[in-house]
Amino acid sequence: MATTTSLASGASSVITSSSSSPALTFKILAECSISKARTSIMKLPHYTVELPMFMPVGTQGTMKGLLPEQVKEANAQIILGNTYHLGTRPGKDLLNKFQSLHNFMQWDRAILTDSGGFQMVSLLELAEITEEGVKFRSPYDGSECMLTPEESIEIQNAIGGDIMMQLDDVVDVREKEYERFKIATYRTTRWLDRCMKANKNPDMQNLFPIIQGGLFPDLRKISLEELTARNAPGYAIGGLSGGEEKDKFWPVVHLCTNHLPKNKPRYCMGVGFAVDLVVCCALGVDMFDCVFPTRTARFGCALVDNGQINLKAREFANDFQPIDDKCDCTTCQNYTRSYLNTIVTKETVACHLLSIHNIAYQMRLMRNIRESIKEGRFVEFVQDFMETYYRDQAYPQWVIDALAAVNITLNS
Amino acid sequence: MQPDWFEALNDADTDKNSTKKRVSKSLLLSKSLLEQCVEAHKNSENLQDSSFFIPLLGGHCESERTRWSKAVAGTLNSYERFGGFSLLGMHTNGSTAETLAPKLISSLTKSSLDPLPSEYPRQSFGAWNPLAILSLTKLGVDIFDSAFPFLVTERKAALKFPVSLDSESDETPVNDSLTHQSKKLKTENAPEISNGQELSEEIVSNEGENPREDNIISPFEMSLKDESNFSVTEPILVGCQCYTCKNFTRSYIHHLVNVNELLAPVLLMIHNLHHWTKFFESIRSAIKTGRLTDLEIKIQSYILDIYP
Repeated sequence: MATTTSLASGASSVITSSSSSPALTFKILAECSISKARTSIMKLPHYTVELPMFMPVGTQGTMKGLLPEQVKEANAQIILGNTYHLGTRPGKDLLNKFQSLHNFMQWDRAILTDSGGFQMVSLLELAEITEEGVKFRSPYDGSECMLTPEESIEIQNAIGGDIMMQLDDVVDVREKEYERFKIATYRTTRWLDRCMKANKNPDMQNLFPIIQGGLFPDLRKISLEELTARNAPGYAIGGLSGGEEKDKFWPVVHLCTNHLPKNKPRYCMGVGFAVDLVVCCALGVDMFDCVFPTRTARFGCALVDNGQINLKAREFANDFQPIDDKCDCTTCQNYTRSYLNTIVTKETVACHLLSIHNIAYQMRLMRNIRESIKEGRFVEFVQDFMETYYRDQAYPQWVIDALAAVNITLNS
Repeated sequence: MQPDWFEALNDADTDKNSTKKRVSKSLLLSKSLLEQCVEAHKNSENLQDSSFFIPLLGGHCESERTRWSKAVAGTLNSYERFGGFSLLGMHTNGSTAETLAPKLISSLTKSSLDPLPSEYPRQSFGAWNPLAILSLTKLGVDIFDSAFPFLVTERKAALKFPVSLDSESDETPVNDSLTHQSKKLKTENAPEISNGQELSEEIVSNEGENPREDNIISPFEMSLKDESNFSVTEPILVGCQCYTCKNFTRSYIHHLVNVNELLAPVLLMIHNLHHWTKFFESIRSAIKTGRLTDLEIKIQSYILDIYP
């Protein structure tokens, strides 16, 4: 499956390594000759994003306490906004008045919006999924509301994100009933068609389908076949990161990237832990999102190369090092662990400082991945990364297996 | 910490409700604390480059404040590295400072400062509103803090009062501030406003121990909680050069306030501190050009326009 393409070699691979849609141009810059990892650029209306890329989540039109400048300084290129929250407040009419979320929140790089479906199912009581859409009770006045594919796209059109996600029939991955997943697989296809029809802005806003099928390979294959036939600018792998075991998670990702077109971006939703990011890149994924880095910051945790440190811990009271002396973020340039220890969970500025660091950490990780692929040393990068992350080389079995599936063996 | 200057430890836990007995006790204790601080300061190597400020106490009792200051005046020559005075004991921080009438603050301050030489800096910390600041400035107070803009930020509001004598871009009160007029502060004795002096009493509340609810704001600010901001595409203050006003609309800030996002107080504080700093630049400039009274009148007229 692995093909050898590098910056040095030829034009022969150009045809399968790039694609062009009205609002998205994708081009592979380099591929790993051993695994399925690749690094590319994705040109969107507001920004050209380097892939693989992690998207921090700015739920309500803001990155939890950070100025847009600070988010840019931490090297974020594309952020995620939540359709359910923004559709509720401030609502699509106000966003239309401001022309886009970009303008409203003063973020001039790229934005991706989710469809709102997942939030509703996870946040709201009595959310019921019918063929029409997601039926739910308004948390404000208890009245019955309906989020249809059309309505989801209408809100996302108002938000104006560079990439929109289809409304998909999301099933809790731990559901046991095959039938339920089968229904969801086919319904997701029908909802994709409705979403595509409802998109008023195809020249400026991309619409990504979301592959379903739970943990069932046959259903995944059906979903892959049906959704790729719609010839979308990019695709997402959905229905994962919902608490399933990792040894069930990675085979599904592997299957999907094997069947998704090479010359289009692949987005695995809800992935954000460093180890998961590295493995998924090896499996051929390009885009990720997760609330984890910004959420854990608010609990006082900073991301480092072997996991995270909780700055509340007493051991940091007299530690005058920065979080990470290799990190060039403004937090690490200016503050010590000792200072952070005195303010975490006490002053809101601690949230800001740690969020900046954690976003910068994720960006640096992604940049290191990209550079290692460009320089033909991705495999070594993965080996070194895992060795640093897992002391005594106590690698989890799923990591060993997933990497072995793409011909990477870890150091022992 | 090795500060440039510090306040000698004191008992300033008095406010307008304190009994005479409480005030006396605070003075007694503070006298002893002051002597100990001076001694400790003398013997401290690390504080050789730090000066200390002497607290000026006496609660809300003018005679006690005078008595204390006279006693202090007599001892000044014996101190090394004494740097200035700190006016204390009139409030217990937060809104308890905001709701004192400027006239009252002035008379208490005057009784503390009159017996003392004028060549030392005086600081008066607390959430004094802009008119109180001007009254205190006229009495010769030199150093204030940012408690007022902080309180304004905490209640999700933004300062709008005119800060400059010369600027033409000063915002006149926008009509949609009518919606929060009904929540104006109450006064104990509510005289008719006939001139500026009585006006400053008008804007004072005497609501006892908890002077201010969340939805009550001063006439110097506008509330971003207010629904009227929902779709306003203008900044908090047109012409303001702060980061917030140069980049964000009232609509966006209102949204952040409405959904309880951390960025709301960040943006508000940036504006409020900027506005506060500009206010003090104006004060200094007005003093240099002999126009402090003009500045005071300008702000008083602004208040009158809001509460005609």
